[in-house]
Amino acid sequence: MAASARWFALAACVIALLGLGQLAAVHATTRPQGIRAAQADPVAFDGQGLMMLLWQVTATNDAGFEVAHEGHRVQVISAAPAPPPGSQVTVEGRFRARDGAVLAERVTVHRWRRAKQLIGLAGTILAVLVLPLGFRVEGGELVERG
Amino acid sequence: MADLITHAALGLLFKRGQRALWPTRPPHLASFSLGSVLPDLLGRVPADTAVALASHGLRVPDLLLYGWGPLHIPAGMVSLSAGLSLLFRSDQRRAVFANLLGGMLLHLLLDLFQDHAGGGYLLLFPLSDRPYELGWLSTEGTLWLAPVLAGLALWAWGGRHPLRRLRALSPGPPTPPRPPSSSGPGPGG
Repeated sequence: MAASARWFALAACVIALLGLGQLAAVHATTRPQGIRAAQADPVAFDGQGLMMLLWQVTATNDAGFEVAHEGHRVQVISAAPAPPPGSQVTVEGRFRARDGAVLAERVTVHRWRRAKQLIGLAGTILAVLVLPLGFRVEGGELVERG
Repeated sequence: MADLITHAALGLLFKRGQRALWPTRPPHLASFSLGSVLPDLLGRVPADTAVALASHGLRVPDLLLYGWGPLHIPAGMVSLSAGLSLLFRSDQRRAVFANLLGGMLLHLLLDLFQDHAGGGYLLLFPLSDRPYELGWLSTEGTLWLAPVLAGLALWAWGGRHPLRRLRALSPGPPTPPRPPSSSGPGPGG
């Protein structure tokens, strides 16, 4: 492959990745489901089922508990004992337009999330330190060893 | 997603199996291992960082919050593997592309076993936004597997550090002759 064609192909890959990223961002912010859509149009989503995956419990109260993610805060109405603040939870429930709360039908507490994050961090550090040993640079190009 | 140690160990074990079946074929251990961890390294670590910043009240553009997702699905994996392979020497590009993509697909396969309460992975994005997952493991379900698989991977590569072995496998004239004590084949090799 000629050098110019190679750089053209590389640019095409980068553009494809940026395009996919942009599509994913538009999809995540405009799809007509989930808590973001429900908060934008509460009446239309009243009583509809939704799921909040891996949100953090920020406070507990008489009605249940409050969760937050990406700067959004939602009150979860739950009769079950509230998870302690700082816990990561997945909440499945129904949206209530009157106050923007979610009536929990199932709450999963991810008790091992912190351990998983620590293992993930260890794996990331290990990968960043060790994987480059599998490659070398030769004449401005990467070469894989083995 | 499963944890990174599980993904890396599974990648190493997969390559050990391939080496046992086809001992003369170049293993491309580094590119396959890189592929098996890249979806999380590039798709999750920056996204988690952006989410953490947003959670602390910082205004983070949607592209930085959600734009990493495609690196964890087939369309993005193909583009990323193709792009990265173009950085390699021409005689290695095809093999590096295949091994990067193979590692990424193995990563995705393992993640598909998890249960995200129906969230799943958009395997056909951008053609379809239907999520897929098998839901057989909780999102932390592979934690107990990580040390077991890591130990197995080290054992399977003959008790030697896989990347030291990888260096020893390096082809080309600069590779010094290996002393007899370190040239024995690993299990099945």
